[in-house]
Amino acid sequence: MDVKILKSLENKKKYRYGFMWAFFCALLWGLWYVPGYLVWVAEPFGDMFMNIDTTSGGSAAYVVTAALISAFNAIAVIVALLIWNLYLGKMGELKRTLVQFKTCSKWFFAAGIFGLLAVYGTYIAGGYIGAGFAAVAGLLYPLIGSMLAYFWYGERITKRGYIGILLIVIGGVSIYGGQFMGEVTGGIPWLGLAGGLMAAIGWGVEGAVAGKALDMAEPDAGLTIRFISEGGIWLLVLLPLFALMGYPIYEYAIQVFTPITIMILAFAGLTFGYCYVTWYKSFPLIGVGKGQAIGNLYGLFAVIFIWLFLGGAPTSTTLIGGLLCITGSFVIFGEDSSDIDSLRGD
Amino acid sequence: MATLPIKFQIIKTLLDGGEHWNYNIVPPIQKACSMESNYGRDTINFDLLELLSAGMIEDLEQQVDEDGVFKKDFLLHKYRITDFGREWAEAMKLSEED
Repeated sequence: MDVKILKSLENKKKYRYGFMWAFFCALLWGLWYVPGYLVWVAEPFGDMFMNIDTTSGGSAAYVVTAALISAFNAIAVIVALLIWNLYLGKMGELKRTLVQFKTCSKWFFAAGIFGLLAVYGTYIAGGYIGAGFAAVAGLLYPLIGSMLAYFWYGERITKRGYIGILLIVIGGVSIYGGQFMGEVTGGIPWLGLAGGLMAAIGWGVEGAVAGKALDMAEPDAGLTIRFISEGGIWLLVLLPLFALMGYPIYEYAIQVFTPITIMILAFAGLTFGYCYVTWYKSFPLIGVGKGQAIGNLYGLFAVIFIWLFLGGAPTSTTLIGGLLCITGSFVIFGEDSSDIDSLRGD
Repeated sequence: MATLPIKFQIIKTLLDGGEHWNYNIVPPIQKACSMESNYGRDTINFDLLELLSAGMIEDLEQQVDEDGVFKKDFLLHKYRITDFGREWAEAMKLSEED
């Protein structure tokens, strides 16, 4: 076969793989909201919430319980990713990347901080307002991620790419609005809204930082370092801080080891861990902007999975928003990439 | 060099400014990292594609691997470091001598 045709086919294959990873990311990310919601009613988190609510008030109960849940979420993901690296034979690369802190791991550490912000925000929003709201609250993150990637390191975004991202964002706003109106009862839930904002900003910045970090490192190893960073911050800084403030963090942490809770956390670790694997793998192939745009279909999948597993039919605004998200993703997917080698510059 | 992440090792190989085919770049790294299986070869080759996407290296020439020197019937690529790749290496304090 002609070399030019083979080259074009190779680029198309690379692009197709990138989209496939991003699509799997959306699917797994959406699924994560099921254990992410269930964990709030699992022991000891349910009791923990009620006890802190009684002694310190509802807001403190959401903030502290979400912190412990997020910490265990990070630990579950670290376990899943270590198994993944072991299976792929990448423990050597993990070690090589880890020791290059000054040049390499610092970026994954930064990604871990913003990722922590996003996960924590999601759990707060999920607990305070609802799983549906938490799922769609972060839908604006590709806008932040792709803009940062464009201005920071000149990642290429075509006109068609912008149109697709815009459609996804409008779809997200539609889903957001519908869920928000449906789930909110009473006054303005500031803490839940702040959680949603943390999710959008956290994941947007994390994606752009990850795009930079992946210039230097291999995705599976880099991602594991990102989660080790997040887990480390929870275990060494934030949880001790909550304990020093007088909250019974460790008293409840040791009660986590019940079969049902471990099963829920393992499910969360698997879905979230592998959603991240696929998210990071898509970035070097299709870019941060597109990877995040396709990954954004998680909002639609989350609403579907929450509906299937936890009940609650989607509203008309959710369905319209979902259709817009899918249309936007296909607008980006349909872009001809056969002549694109590099995602950077003009 | 085996203590460096694979992408660092690839860039170091290309820092001489020369043009290198992937079948010359990948095997020494496979050996240095004990990744001598076909899976190891494809993993390192994929890192080359990621560096290409990032704009750190450029793809100068392609040939079909008819003789199976690297991977039969697949494309062989000749790469060279870009200015951006060189700037990146400087920022990472990488040099050929490391």
